[in-house]
Amino acid sequence: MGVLTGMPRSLADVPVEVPTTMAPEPIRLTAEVLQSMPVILFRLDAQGTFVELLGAGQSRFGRKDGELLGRKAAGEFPQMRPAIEQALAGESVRFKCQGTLDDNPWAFDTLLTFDRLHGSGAIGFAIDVTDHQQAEECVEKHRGELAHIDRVKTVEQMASGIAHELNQPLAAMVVRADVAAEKIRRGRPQSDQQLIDSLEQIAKEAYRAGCIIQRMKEFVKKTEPHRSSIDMASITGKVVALLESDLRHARITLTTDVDRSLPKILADGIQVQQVLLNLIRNAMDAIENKDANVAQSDDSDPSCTTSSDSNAKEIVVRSRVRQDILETIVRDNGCGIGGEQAEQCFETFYTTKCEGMGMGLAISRSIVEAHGGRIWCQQNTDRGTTFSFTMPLPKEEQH
Amino acid sequence: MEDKPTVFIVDDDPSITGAISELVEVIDLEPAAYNSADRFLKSYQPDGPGCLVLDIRMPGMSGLELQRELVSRGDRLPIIVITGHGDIRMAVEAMGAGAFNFLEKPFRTQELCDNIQKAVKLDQERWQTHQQRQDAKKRMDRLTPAEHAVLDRVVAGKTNKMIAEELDVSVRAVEDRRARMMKRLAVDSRAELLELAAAAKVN
Repeated sequence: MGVLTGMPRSLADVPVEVPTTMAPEPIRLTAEVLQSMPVILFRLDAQGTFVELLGAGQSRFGRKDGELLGRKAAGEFPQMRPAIEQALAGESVRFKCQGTLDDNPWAFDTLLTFDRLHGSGAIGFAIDVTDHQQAEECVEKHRGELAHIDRVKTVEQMASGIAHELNQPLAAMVVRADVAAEKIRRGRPQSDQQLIDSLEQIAKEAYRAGCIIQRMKEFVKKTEPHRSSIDMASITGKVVALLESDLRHARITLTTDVDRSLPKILADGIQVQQVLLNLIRNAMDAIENKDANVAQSDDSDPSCTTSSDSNAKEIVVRSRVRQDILETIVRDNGCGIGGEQAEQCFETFYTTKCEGMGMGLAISRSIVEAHGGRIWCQQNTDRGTTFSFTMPLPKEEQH
Repeated sequence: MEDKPTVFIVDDDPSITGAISELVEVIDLEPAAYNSADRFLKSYQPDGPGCLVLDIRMPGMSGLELQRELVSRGDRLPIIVITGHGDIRMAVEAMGAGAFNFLEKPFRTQELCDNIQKAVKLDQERWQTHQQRQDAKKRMDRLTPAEHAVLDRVVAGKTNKMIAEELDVSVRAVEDRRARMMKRLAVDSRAELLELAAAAKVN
């Protein structure tokens, strides 16, 4: 099979309007029938030239019936080129062919196969999936908007920690600047170097404050979902930076085991950051046992209430390649999750926390699944919970 | 020349301890910075006046816990608590436990400076009183039991005659002991004697 992107799961998913006229006799497939349907049936010769062409689908990209006859398919539709080569070589290929006409997008789900009847050339069948694709894009956009709301909400909840983190460099800058001024006023700087040191310190602190704002801004920025080749290590780094202050003050040790050399994934960087951030914050809450088991039962597990006092509080983030996927786990030694909770926790508005909206995990799941991955959680054998999510690796990265 | 009072600074952020140390030097005090409460406790010896500038939110032992530890040791080093955003509840708790004052980050340098100077002054007075007490006690300890008996009665406001009767000795003997005692304690008048006795007793 060729390289396929964003294909509908099967042709059966595509709504096709079947003519409702009840014919007393079996319908004979004629050129007229095809000319009334949003499809294109075509034949290419051994040189890849259109030699037969039927179906109402041609109008979708602004071609009159038969206008393409005698033209090279790869010349008209460059994205077909690899598929044509494969089909002419004897294979069957299914791919999506898309473009725009006067800024209106069109998309065809296309099957191309070697022409056994003539012993050379290829037969193609294309079905118009433009509406289907637009509906998918609409869902993607809504997911993006929902994800953005969740990020804003998350940052709102993290505001106190972030403000604290900002106050540190600001407080240091104020004192250093005043002290430097006082030294000059008293005529007491022992050397210019002393003042230069102070100014450099102030610049360093100001830069540090700026970086904190920058990271936060990037995270809450409202952007169109955009997939690019990204590495999990830098995603993890950015998320940990956002959580640093909260982790430090909750006295939680976060260990990351995400190698820079891991293959890159094709994903929306901000959304993957969001999934990881949600999972880590969830783990922190489980460790802090913030009302964690309230929803589960009244007689909560006694080992749970002591968990925050006894052993060290630990979260581990680890990424590994498993066959054609990248699996990332977030493991905590918090109060754990009940069997029923493990099932329900990804549902929208399911929450065990007073301040939560119950959106975080549901959105994380929708993000992961939109990327073709899976997310789930398991109770650890000793204690705590492990949340895992996978992201498929692009084909060329697999080997 | 006496040693400069020490301003201890405990904050997990080196940029804060660095900046405050600079300030402390400018106002002619001795800074001693620590980036954790544990490290501070390990090296801290109460051996002179000073104060403590303490961040309330820290990983490991928190500022409040450090304060509690010092209070339980009977240490009365004045504590200026510095808090981050939204730590007012903890600041109130610290004040309840006897902190000298609290400042919210970012604070005005002058404000911190005034607080440090006031706290140090308070502590210097405390040390002075403490020193006098130690001194008075030391001198009291030099007296013989017979001299002590006379001292107790003088302090109680008794005349030499009354003391002589109570101790069943001559008035002359009481006068002698009293003179010796005054000399040993290095005081010239009854008023001074009473003052010294009072200083030695309060503790």
